[in-house]
Amino acid sequence: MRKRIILRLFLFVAVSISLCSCVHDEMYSTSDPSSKEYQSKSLWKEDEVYIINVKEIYEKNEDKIRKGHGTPLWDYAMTMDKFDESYLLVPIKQNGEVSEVLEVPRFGKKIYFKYTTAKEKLSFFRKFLIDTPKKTLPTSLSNDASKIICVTRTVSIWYPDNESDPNASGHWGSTSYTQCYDITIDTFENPDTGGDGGGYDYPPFGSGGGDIDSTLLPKTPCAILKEQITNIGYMDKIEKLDKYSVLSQKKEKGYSESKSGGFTELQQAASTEGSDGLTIPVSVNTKGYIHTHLNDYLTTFNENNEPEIRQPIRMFSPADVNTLMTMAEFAADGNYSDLYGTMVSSYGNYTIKFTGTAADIKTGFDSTKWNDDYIDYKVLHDSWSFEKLFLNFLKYKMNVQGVDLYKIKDNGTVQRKVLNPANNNVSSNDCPQ
Amino acid sequence: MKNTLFISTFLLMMISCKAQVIGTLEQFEECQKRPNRDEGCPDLDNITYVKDTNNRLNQFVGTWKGSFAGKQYEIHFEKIIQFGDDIKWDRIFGRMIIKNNSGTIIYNSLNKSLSETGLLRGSNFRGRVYLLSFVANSYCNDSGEAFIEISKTNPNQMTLFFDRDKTSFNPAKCPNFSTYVPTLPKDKMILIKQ
Repeated sequence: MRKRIILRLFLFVAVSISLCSCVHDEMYSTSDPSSKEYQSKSLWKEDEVYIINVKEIYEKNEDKIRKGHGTPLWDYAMTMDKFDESYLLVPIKQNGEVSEVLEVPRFGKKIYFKYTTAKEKLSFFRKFLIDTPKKTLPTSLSNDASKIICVTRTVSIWYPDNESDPNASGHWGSTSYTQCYDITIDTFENPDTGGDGGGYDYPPFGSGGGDIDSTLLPKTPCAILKEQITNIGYMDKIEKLDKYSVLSQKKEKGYSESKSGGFTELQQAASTEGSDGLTIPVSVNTKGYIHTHLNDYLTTFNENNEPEIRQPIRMFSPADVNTLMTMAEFAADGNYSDLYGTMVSSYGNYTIKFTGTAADIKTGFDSTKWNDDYIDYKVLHDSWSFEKLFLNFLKYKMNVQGVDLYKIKDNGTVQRKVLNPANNNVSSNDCPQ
Repeated sequence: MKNTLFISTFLLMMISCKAQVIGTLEQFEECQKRPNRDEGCPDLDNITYVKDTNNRLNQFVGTWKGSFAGKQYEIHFEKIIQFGDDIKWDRIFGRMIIKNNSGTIIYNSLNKSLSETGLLRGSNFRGRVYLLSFVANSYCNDSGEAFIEISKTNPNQMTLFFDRDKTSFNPAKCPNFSTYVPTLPKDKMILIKQ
């Protein structure tokens, strides 16, 4: 009896070990690349000037950047259709496999190193580096070269039915990787995945004195918001709304801003049935809007003569997100960076920005069903803060990508609010000063 | 041998199933009264079932009728146990049938399921009053919060007060906003239990 159990245990252990060892694919073997000259092994045209320069800067500062990570395989570095010396990804080899990808963007005259284990980047390089035939498929570009673009790289890989006879039957599978450039400099200045947050001088852009023409660089949402809060027109409206006398009214107030310049006060529609809703019309000319969400207010008294209080949700609603999406839909040129929606409330002043691509634009969130679902979600998650409520509903119920939440603090700090994927709590990332 | 296998599998299943953490309506009512309530009440985050331990919701259950400004209102309130997904609550839900002064039905949610819009959806007490949200038509702000309480002297008498939303809307989606008549009246209404 005991023998049988022990035998079964051994079998189980043997099977598990063999299964685990099958997981690691064969790596395309290369000689140690760190001392070699760069020779592109990518299937696409790359910005080789940038790769060579970054490799040189990396090697000069390896002790500060590497910190226990593996070896970069520079021959496989890819600049993802950027040819302005501004971005590359390079796979990192450690313990015989591609363990991570090193991401190196240039912001201005400095380059930043950040290690990532993001699934789509890692699996792309892992599959690319397997020793099987490959052919390229057309790249899809969703935008112009001078703006932030999303590039989908698709590669077909041959999977033979019998690996000892690869020229016999099999099938082509494909692997693809979509890169949308992360234009938020703060994730590179403080990476939690190693590398060095300081940024390194990029001599080709840093020599000869004088600044780079900053209009050539795409502006991050942080940069745009920091400019906005120094804009007199915008701040004048914020100050007009951010007062107890306005927030304690039983009606919302606000302004819309047009692309051609100027703010218009939003009209409150009087109604015979006491609603006085704020009208927010959206057109192709709308750049953004600012509106209040109300303080708690008295509705009536109960039988004990105690006041009955209404507690509005002082945070963006699905309908507010829909307004931003409608503005994005109008932007036929794909330029979304100036669009915004601001909410002024006693909980704080917040702005939502659209940072996605055309594929991320979704509307219909102003429906009765979305409103009902949002309120019910709030009821069930009654202990959550308004920030946590909004970000969780946005991500898990509305399935929206590309809408970012920022808080504008009284002291002029702008903070991005994000969900920590480990526990779905809210983290705050200060915009750089 | 078989017995040990059964018992150990059963124990493993018990351990792997997440245990419910039960809280009370009163705990969450207290949370809403905190001055920094907007920041949330993280001490209650681990609760997965908010229970009506004192059966305070039972007083609302039944069919209630009232009339106001020429319309007849009939509301069926039921108590639902453990409604929700990751977090469950004991709640009151209300379905209505409304007739105008000619006896024509102008609103009927009696056959709606709990996942449809247009029901009165209970949240929690604030003192002796219970709050329910109501969303019939968001485009025209035909939505808001209902406050119900049972009379101290008569358990068969209920007052209902509805506070209509005063939020922003898109005028293109509600052109008749200024004269739109919402589903529930803006003044307090008395309802009698049937």
